Amino acid sequence: MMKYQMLKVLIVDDEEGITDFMGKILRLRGFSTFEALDGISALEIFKKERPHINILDIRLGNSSIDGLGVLEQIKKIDPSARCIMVTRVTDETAINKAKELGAVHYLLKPIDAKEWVGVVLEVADSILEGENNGKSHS
Amino acid sequence: MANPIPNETELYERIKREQIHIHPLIWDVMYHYLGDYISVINLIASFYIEQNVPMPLRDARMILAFTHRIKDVVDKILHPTTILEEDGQLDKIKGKNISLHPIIKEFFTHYISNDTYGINLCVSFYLDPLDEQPILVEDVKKILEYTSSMREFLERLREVTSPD
Repeated sequence: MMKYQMLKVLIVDDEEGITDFMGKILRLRGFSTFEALDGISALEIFKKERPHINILDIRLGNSSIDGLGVLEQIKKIDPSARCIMVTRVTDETAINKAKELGAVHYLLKPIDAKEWVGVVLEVADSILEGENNGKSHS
Repeated sequence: MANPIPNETELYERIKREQIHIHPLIWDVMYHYLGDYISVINLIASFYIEQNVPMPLRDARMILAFTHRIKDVVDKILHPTTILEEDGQLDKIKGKNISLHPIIKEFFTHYISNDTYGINLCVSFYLDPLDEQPILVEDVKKILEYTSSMREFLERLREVTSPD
C-alpha cells in the first residue's frame, strides 16, 4: 500500500458521507486525499494541490459549477490530469460529454466500493507506471 | 438479499412482454436519491469490513438515518400525492400522472423496502438504548450484502424496463 503514498486524490461529491468514506478507504491504501462538496472548492483545491487523480460527481446539487464544469476547468489547467467521473445511468448525455472532455473512467451510482477502488487503483498504477517510464505527472 | 418473489421470473417476463416502462423522470429521481444513499451505506460498510473492526455507533446512526431517507423516497415515489414542495427533485414527478405500474410497485416494495428494512433492523439491534454496542463485522458484511442486493435489483429492473 505504501506505493501509493506519493499520490494525491481529490474527491468531489455533494454528499458528505461519500467524500468522507471514499477518503477514508483511499487513505487506508496510502493515498493523500482532499475532499470538496462543491465545484468552486474543488477547483480551489485542484489549483493548490494538483492532485494526481480527481474523482468528480457530475451532479453537485446547488453548486454553481457542476462536475462537468470542474472537469473542463481541470483539463484547461492540466490536460494530463486524470479524472474519474461518478454519475448515474440516466445521465447518458453527461457521460458522453465527460468522455469528450477527457475523463479516463466513469462510475455509476449506486457505487460498489470494491469496483470503485479497483478503478482508482488501476488509474494510480498507470500513473506510477508512467513515472517509472520517465513520464512525470505535470 | 431479499428473498426472490415466488413468481419473480414470470413477472420479469411479463414486464418485457407487455413493455412496461418506467418514466425517465422516475428513474432520474430514483437514482438521484437512492444512488447517493445506497453508495454511502456501501462505502461505510466496506471501510469497516476492510479494517476488520466493528462499526462505531456514530456511523451506525448515520446508516440508520440513510435507511430512513431511502424509505421516505421510496414511499413518495410509490405514492406521489404525498410529495411536498420542499421535497426537491421528487417534486418533478408530482402531478405528472406518471405513477408506477402495480408490478413495478410490487418489486419496489419487495426488494428496496425489504433490503432497507433488513439494514434498519440490523443497525437498530446494535443501537438499542438498553445495550448499545458497535456493529460486529459479520453483521456489517450483511449490511454490505443488502446494498449489493439493491444495486442488482435496480440494474435488473432498468434492463427489463428499457425500451428495445
